[in-house]
Amino acid sequence: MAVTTDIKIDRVLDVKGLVCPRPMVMTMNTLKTMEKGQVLQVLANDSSTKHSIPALCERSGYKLLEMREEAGTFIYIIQK
Amino acid sequence: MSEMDFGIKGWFETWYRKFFREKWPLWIAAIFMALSGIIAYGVATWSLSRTVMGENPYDQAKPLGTFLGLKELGGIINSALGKLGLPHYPFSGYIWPDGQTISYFVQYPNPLLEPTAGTMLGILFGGLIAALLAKEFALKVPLDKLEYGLALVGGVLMGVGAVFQFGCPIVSTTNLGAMGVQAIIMVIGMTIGSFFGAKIIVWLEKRRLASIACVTADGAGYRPLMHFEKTKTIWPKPPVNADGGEPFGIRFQPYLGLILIVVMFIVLYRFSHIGYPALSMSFLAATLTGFAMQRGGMCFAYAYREPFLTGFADMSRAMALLYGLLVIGFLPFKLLAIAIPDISYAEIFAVSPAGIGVLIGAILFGIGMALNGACVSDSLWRTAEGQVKIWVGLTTLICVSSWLFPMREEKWFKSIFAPFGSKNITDVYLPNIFGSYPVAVFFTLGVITLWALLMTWFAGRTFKRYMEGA
Repeated sequence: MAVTTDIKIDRVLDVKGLVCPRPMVMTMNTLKTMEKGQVLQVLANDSSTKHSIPALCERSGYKLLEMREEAGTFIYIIQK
Repeated sequence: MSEMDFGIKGWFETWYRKFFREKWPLWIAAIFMALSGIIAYGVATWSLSRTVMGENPYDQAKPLGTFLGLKELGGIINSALGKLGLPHYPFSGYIWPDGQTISYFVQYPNPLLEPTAGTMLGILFGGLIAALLAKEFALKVPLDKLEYGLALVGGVLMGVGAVFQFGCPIVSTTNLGAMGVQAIIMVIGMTIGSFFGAKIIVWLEKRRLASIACVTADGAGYRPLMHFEKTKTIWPKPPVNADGGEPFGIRFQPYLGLILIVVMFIVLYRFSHIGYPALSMSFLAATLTGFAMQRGGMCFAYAYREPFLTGFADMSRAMALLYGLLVIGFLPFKLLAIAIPDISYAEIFAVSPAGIGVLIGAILFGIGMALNGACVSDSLWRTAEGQVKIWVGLTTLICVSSWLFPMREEKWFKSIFAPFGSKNITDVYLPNIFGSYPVAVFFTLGVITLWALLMTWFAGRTFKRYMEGA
């Protein structure tokens, strides 16, 4: 899997295999524990995250720095 | 010439990406679902008129729904278990596979001719086509036991709930469009049930979080905070390294999707020419529903649960749009049914008894779908994406509801369905209650608007609490 090198990732949340709503709940819970400015990478393979995670960022003010798909894995890089 | 080719290619790629690869806005998916629901209602009305005129009595389409289909498909599973000498429940009404079928309500030469069984398969097929065209199909097996636990418990609760409330959320959608009191009770019950389901999920996740040691990345490389690795992708296998590119199993998917579309039209063309044009069109409408649901990620469980769980009501509002469009879209067919006495039953298509049993069932169903992560129709299109956890929930739901179905003939069961002291379903039909169509239409639209506002309010409250704690 390609690794984004120009963004410093503080934490990685791998929720591949979990089905809605757990990927979203765990993303929110993890962001809750992080400091402002820190970056979280989420790895998921439930297609519901394609809708829910961008919606979370739009509403909360978290920055969705990157969103891409690699061989069935959806990768989100979020800055709190 | 080459520039023109490039232009056409670029145009095609852009539109293919927008229509088949990217997720649709929820409101567009809701409109597509409403269109397919209205088409299905129209086809059902047309098939009723054909039956009255003596055409094939088994070619009876119904408005979008899945409930009786659950029973039929459950019967197939049950009979197959019996044939294999495996334990099966005692209420099987089927003799299989010799073709002779004894169904519980209506006798069909084949259980798959039960119209809502076709609807279920249509939604599944539509979801599969959409997933393949988007290269999103993958057989994913969760290894996390909690996922299976939630699927099993959710499946049982939904199976019991479906029998009690006489349907699932897509039935409530059609029923609400048809202005039945049953749907309003279902919406209330499923909202209450989803509230409790969301609370259970929050509790489980808190316990899970507390049990996991959090490790922060040290900057030198990746170190997972919570690396579950709880999935096994059976097919297609992901590439072994970053430069592996797309495996054949992913690249081939759009072509397989196109092949399935062509095969579907050939089969439906043949099926309609041997006396089943209504069921063929009904299947097509259900396929469009499944396609729109997968493209938009339309999920009833999400719409009912998220306002209480993560604080999002965008799906709830999209569902409210769907409900409202169906109320308006069904009207021409209802007025046609009033004008033509032979098809008068089409006026009360999808209207069912309503009593305290529906409320009990809807609450159970709401808890179950919140835990499972999907209701019946959601499960169908997500099953088509290859989510094995959803298969477990759906199969459990089908078996439980099929097993409990004969309970509906018990005296005590009928008593809780007596619609407010009456046994006549027209007594739970809003235009009859109000004595006026316009009042019933505005009342139904008012209930839908109120529900959407309530869900938006709950979502705002939940999200505000989250941000305050973040």
